[in-house]
Amino acid sequence: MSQLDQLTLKKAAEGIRSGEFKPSELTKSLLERIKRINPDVNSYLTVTEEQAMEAASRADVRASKGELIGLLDGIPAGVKDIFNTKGVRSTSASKILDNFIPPYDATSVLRLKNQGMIMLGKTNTDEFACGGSTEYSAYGVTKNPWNYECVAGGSSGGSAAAVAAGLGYYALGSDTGGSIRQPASFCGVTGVKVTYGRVSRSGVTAMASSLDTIGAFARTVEDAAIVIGAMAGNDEKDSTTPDVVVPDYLSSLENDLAGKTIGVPSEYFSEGLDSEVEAKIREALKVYESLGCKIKEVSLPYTKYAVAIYYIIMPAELSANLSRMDGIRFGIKPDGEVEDILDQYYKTRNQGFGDEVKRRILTGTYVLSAGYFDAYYKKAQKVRTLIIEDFAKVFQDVDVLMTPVAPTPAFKIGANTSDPLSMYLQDSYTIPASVAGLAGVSIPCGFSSAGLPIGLQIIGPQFSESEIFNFGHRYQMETDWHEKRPNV
Amino acid sequence: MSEINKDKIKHIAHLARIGIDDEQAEKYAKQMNGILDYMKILEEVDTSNVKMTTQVTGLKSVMRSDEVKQYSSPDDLLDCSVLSKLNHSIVVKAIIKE
Repeated sequence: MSQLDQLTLKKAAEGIRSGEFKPSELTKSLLERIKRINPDVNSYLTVTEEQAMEAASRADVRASKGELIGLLDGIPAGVKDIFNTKGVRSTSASKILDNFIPPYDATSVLRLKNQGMIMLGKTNTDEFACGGSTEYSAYGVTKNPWNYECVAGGSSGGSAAAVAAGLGYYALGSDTGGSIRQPASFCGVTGVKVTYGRVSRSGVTAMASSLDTIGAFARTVEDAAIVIGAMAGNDEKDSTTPDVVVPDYLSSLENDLAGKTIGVPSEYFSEGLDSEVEAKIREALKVYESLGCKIKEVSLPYTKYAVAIYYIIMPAELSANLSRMDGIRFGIKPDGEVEDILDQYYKTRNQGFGDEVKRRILTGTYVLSAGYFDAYYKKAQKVRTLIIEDFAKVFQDVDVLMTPVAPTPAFKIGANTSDPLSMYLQDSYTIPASVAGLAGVSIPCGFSSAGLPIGLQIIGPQFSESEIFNFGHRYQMETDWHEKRPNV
Repeated sequence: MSEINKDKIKHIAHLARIGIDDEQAEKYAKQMNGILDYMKILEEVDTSNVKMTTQVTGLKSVMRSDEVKQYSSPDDLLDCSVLSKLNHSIVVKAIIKE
């Protein structure tokens, strides 16, 4: 069977069930493809070939005995390098964790392993998930499988590129301000950012604790729903995971959308939005109209403040979280002589962290410092309240919101690295939902004239994953954008 | 909101325990001024009667029973450190010049 790597997760699972192929054949096929393509794409930082083949042969046995655990059993996948994976180097794409081998699995990883995941390796990211292009990885940029001159997006760019390039049926990522949705959009795959607290963050290197969420990339909404369903739910190791029931996401995927209302916030269609992106979003809305949805123009007036408050709150929390990278608990031994403990901290952290991480730690330290806390951090958390209220008001009238994911398709490598602020503004359509802890999904909805994918963002209220999956899946039943694959 | 200069950045870097040199300090000062200038947009929002957000899903003081549970062995956790270990502890002396 050719093109095993191009199947959806669902089709791969069906093939395993029908005996058409074995988990080890899928795994081998993907590992070979990784060997061939990864040197160009730089999606995987670490490939765990041996462990993957071992796990696959165990899945082979279960398949042959008819004892498969579930749909995810025997399915190969990639895991972002900020997730702790027991016994497997987990660098967070930072030199400071260059040699870090975690003693335990992140809860999300463990839950998937218990469902039979075959982990192929660890995927590239911006260092500590700080960035929107993987250009800030200490291990080189991930290239966009649709055009190697362009970024794959970020921070979870390695995972997005892996799914796009056929190097994994799904991949795990994290989304703090858009780090799943934006790379999904840039790489033409489906990416899910769950409600804050829906999936445990235990064992994932913390970036900004009031914003971090764990999610996944896949080729279809249905595939992504399978993965999220397996990870979601309360975890005693993460006290921010509420005891909210995890519904069966698959049972409502095909629900009729007639009569539903889609909000289109005018603030997301203003200056700076690429006209091709806007055109594709409007076309997608037409598809929903044909399914009987009502389109309603709405306003979220505080949207324009979201980037500013995000770049206060996130660095503040990041600076606290990364204090553990001190060369004592975690971190490298610095080069050169060390005078005393203070000098040890100075050198470890200056040598170990990259430029963007240092910039964010400094910003975070500043906004939390005495005399500035009220003006920046407190102010930001107050404006955050107003953004949350904006969304709450709108969701009284609409079921979901639909917007672009990013102002443009994937940009050229190097285009935004000289100006930190211009990179930050790339996140302006994904940050507001993050700040409010909402659920969101990015699905492919067309291509630019240059052949780069464009994504549609569907945002729903907290814990509305079923609803946004339903909206996303119905769109994918009507269109075939999600079936397009890059020529790599 | 005061302006950041090289000395201020060096002080912040000290607080953050990052040993940056003069060249880095110049660069970060310039970039941070740009970022903080952008934050000034928040001054136009009246937040006098607005409460701070502290948690977005409405959780309050999540409690659990105070039981000791062992997830990883202490030695495995200590292995996360690059420093020498002796008797289930990190040898801190190893990093301080005698």
